[in-house]
Amino acid sequence: MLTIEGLRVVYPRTGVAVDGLDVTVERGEAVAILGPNGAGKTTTVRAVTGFLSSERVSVDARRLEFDGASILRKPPHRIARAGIAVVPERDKVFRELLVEENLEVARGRSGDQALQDTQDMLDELFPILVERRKEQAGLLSGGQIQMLAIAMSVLKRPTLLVADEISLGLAPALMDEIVVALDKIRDELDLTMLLVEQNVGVARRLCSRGLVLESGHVRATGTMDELAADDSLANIYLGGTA
Amino acid sequence: MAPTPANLTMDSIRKLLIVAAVSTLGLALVVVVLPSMLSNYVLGIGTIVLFTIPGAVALNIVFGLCGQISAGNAAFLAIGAFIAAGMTHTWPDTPTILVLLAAASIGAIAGVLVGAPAVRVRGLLLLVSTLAIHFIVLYLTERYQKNEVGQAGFLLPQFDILGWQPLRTIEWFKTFGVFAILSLLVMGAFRYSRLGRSWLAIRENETAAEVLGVRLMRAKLLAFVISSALIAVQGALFAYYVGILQYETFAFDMVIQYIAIVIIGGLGSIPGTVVGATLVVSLPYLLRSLSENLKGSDGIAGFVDDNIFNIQRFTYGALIVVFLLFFPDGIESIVRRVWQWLLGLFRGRGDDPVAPSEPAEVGA
Repeated sequence: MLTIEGLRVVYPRTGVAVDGLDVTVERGEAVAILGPNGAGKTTTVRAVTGFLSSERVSVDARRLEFDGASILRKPPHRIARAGIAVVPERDKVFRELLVEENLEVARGRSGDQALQDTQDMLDELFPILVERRKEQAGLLSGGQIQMLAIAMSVLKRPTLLVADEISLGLAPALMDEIVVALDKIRDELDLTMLLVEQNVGVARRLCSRGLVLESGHVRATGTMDELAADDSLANIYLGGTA
Repeated sequence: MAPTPANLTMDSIRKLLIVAAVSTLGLALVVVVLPSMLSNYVLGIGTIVLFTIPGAVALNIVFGLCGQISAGNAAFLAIGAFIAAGMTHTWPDTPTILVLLAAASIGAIAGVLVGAPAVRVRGLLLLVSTLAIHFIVLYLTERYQKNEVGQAGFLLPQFDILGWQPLRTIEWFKTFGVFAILSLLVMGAFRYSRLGRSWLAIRENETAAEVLGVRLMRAKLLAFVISSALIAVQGALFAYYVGILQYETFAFDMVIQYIAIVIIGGLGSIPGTVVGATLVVSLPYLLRSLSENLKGSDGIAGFVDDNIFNIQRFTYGALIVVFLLFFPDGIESIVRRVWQWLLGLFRGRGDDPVAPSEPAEVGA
């Protein structure tokens, strides 16, 4: 479904961020991108979702394809329309709009039954968003903003969800709630997922396979169990315990 | 999120009632209460305030709601005014209502022509390109005026809609008051529509809005078109009001004045537009009466009087900087707090609007 071959991203100031990255994500799969800060995880996500194309960043790849069509250097909204949704690390929601207005922006003009069903499911998964729907999104807590961002990204039933650091800065209980919700959303919508994570625990619960990045290179790939079993990797790149 | 239909209608009925009540109140204020209360001097200032509001609303749509800073305000005002002057000059018996409609339509078309290239650029570039339009329009109106009537300017006929013929200040006060309220209603209607939500999303994060399916060019262009149509109508009204129209009126100071209103009032704020327009328009008059009160020191009074326009410019500039630095939400945030306090009184106790972490009472 998503094929990345030989991805190379060079920033004008800081130089090579990702070099020679290969990843394939099959339909229905959930793949984690792991690695320390500055390894190139977010850059990879931004290259896939098109967010680098507007800046003066050089993005190159032998293949960067989604559903058989090239998405290399395509603008973000084209990629979104092709079926790739993103939960970015920052600026996830429109802080000045109400919670319900955020969802209305995400909903756009469509109002079919499928969308209504998705909305109902999300209401059930995230009751707090229903409760606080008349409040400005900027007033939500970090976890609630994450929920809103997830709801907005999956509302139109994308085929691939790319999420950047979904567990960042969340309390364990909240994280658990979000992981459970994501799992359910994936089942209901038949989602394929590409998750950038620093938290190996979260990655293991959601993903079957992962790759570890270091300094823009793939350091290791394998099933999540294999990666977690490899002590040296765990210690060096994953920050110890899983 | 998906509110039940019953919930939805109750909600919109309540909103409609509030809007109806507020606009009736406003209408009563500008048509009955204020004209009978205010002195002629204050009514004169009030007339300019009310006249300014539609233009401030228009800029607030493009700049405040959609986040596209435009310096085309005075240019579109000139377009509207010169449409009125040109039409009544060529066909002296054209009904006023027709002139206003023509101004709106041609203003909208001008908005497309200007907006289509302009919305492709962002930020400072947009400001500069709309600035260019200001000088192009000024040049064209100057040529037109000199060709048609010469230096003296266009003479406009009496304003007349359904027999309403404002002549004295008090009548113009009422006329502009009605248009001001209409323009505020237009702004409110758009703010709470799908288009309005798209504008706010664009203002906050253009790329994110586009990724979520907002059609950027279309939304921005519509902001331009609605705004320029509104300003063009205001321009036509202005032409009737002054009676003699000259191109020199549309100086660059005017652009700064409107930008100051929007920033001081608060980006995208409807009550802020009214407060901002009132403050910015009446400022020079306040300065003047201040200088008159400094009788003891003739030197200062004389200095203020001689430099009133420079002082005014300086004050606008200083206010813009102060508000951008210290009150980026404008007067709006202050007005909103007072407004919520009033609503709280109105509804009785039980819901405290200033507790952001409390889940809001829904449908209460």
